[in-house]
Amino acid sequence: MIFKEAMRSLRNSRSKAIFFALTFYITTTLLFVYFNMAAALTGGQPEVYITSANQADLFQLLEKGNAGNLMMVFVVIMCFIDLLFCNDFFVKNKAKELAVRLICGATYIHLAMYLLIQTVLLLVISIPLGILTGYGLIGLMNHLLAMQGETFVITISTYAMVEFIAVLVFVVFWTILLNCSFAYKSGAVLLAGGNMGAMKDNRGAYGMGSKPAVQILLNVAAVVAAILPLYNFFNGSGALAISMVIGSVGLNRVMGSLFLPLLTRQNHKSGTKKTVGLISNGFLRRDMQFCKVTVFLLICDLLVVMTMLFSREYSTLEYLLVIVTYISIAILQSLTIMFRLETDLSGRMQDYHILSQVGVSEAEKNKIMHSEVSKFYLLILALVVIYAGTAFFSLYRSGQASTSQILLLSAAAILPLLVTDVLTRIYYSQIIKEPLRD
Amino acid sequence: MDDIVLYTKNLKKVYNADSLNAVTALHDINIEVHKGDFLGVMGPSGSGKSTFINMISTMDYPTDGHVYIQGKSVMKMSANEIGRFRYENLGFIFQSFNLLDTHTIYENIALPLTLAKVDPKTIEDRIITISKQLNIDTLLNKVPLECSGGQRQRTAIARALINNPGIIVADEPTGALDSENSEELMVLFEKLNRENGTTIVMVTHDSYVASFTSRLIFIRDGAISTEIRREGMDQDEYFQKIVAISSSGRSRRKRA
Repeated sequence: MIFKEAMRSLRNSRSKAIFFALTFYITTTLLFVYFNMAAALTGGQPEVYITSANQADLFQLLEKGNAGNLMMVFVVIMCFIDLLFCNDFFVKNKAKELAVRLICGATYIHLAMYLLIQTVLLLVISIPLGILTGYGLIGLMNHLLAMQGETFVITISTYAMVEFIAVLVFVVFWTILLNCSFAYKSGAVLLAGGNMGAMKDNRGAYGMGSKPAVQILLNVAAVVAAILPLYNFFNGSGALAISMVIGSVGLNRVMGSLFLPLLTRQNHKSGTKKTVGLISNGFLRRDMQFCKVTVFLLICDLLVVMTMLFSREYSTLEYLLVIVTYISIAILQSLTIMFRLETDLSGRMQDYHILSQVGVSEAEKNKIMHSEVSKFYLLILALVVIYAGTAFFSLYRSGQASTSQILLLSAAAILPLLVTDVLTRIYYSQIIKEPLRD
Repeated sequence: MDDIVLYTKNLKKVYNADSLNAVTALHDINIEVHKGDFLGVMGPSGSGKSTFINMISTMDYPTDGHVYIQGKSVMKMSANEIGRFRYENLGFIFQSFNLLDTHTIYENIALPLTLAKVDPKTIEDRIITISKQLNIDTLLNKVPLECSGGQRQRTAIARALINNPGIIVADEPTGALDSENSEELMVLFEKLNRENGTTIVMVTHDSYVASFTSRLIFIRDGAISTEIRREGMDQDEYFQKIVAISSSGRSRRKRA
């Protein structure tokens, strides 16, 4: 009975289920390739990294330490964050469904089982497909290595498989944990007469009120912190990884306390010239408020891996591993941003219904949707270009990076964002056409 | 005849018309609304009130019959014309306020004016004027979730009035408000109707709220069952009459 209902629920949320399965598929593929490559680096044996006292500092290790398990930890954390947001996107709109089940007498265990069956069904499809693709990719890499004249071959090692399966089990456990906590939280909140949206809607008035001196000082400090990595990159100074982390914190405040209030002021002043601009700017403000942390994580992670890539000489395989890390992070973080955004967009149909009531035409609604998505991804691309561009320029100027390397890394950072831009538009266009349900 | 702003002719709405489960929600609705009318619509749940308000506010099309607003037939308009017609002629106020929670109070009120392509300076002036009238001028930079229910409903009213529409359509406007805010809102409606001559069509369940109207129709089983006018009555007498009609409808249903 519960199995049939779970299947029906999956059919009803088909597009979300496809996105969810796709993320698991990509995550499995990346992890499979990654663990086998990392194991091949050490001849299939576990590697010890912190070998001396002066390497114990994390940031020093990021810039000067060995490639391998350190980056693996990095990628695994990214996978977990990606799955967290993906799962949130998948189950958020099931809150009402779960509350009805609770009212009808279901226990929290029933709810968790109900969500779990859906997740397991999707995992059963996506994990084997991911492993198969991983096999194919390793074959392709071996072929490329052979073409480069390398005698090294990436083999499927037992050690890598054990690590891979252990991480995969953790990923599944993590998802189950998320589902259980969601079932408990959403049920309790809805039964108490609230709603999930209200729980999260604790946002301010975009900092438009008066600012005390402390706020101004903090804003100045935030601007300096946001510029610090650019300055360091430009001058080729050390401690790039830590300056990037500080930069992300600064950027977060610049976005929340300076950019968004400025956007509001601008929208009040001249945004009223055109309906599309007025509405899409308002939506963009909400999107950035909701997604800014994931955007800064993308920039920060890309630059940290880039710093590692050019910090010392690598063997071909090590170099390939860092490149795969960079690409994996670009893909996973772009997906994370997309799922974070789409979780918020899934509640946007009410807003589009209101727009229709006020007199906004269907054509204008489409324009608003495209304008919002374009501005959102252009803003992310602009930030990536400013930070990564400065780093690339610095590396190119010092002769550490070639034009082809810069082009490859730029494409790897930009392409996943462009693909998720298209996927977001497809999903969003379905949302704005959906009839409103009570 | 010249001052008729809205009239319906043999209005009929059938849901699932092509299936075996066809439900006639409205039939034979003929009504004229004159400029400056404050018309209330009452009736039990499922009587067809919401269907009626959706028909006259261009939100839905009738299965048969006609709706004329400002002399124009809604049936003959394209989707784009309907959109333009809404922001030029109609102002909507709903029970759940229907404000954009992602946008500031200023942006919410500005929306109908940007659709009408009014220049930003005029928009600013009009928003400042109306927000002062409605006592929400200090909230313009806030988002609706930071405001109380009464403040949100006043914002919805500001958005409905900012374009000087011919008709205000209000669907259970006091439904989400406490008694104090409900009273305040009805006094405001009464004032707008009396002093500005604003035409208002309002659906309500509440007999006391209905006693602020100048004319009231009762819909039962998809048709107009009774129509009363306040005329010389004071609000108490009018209220008693509304209660008596509402109760008689309930008694009839019990006996049946």
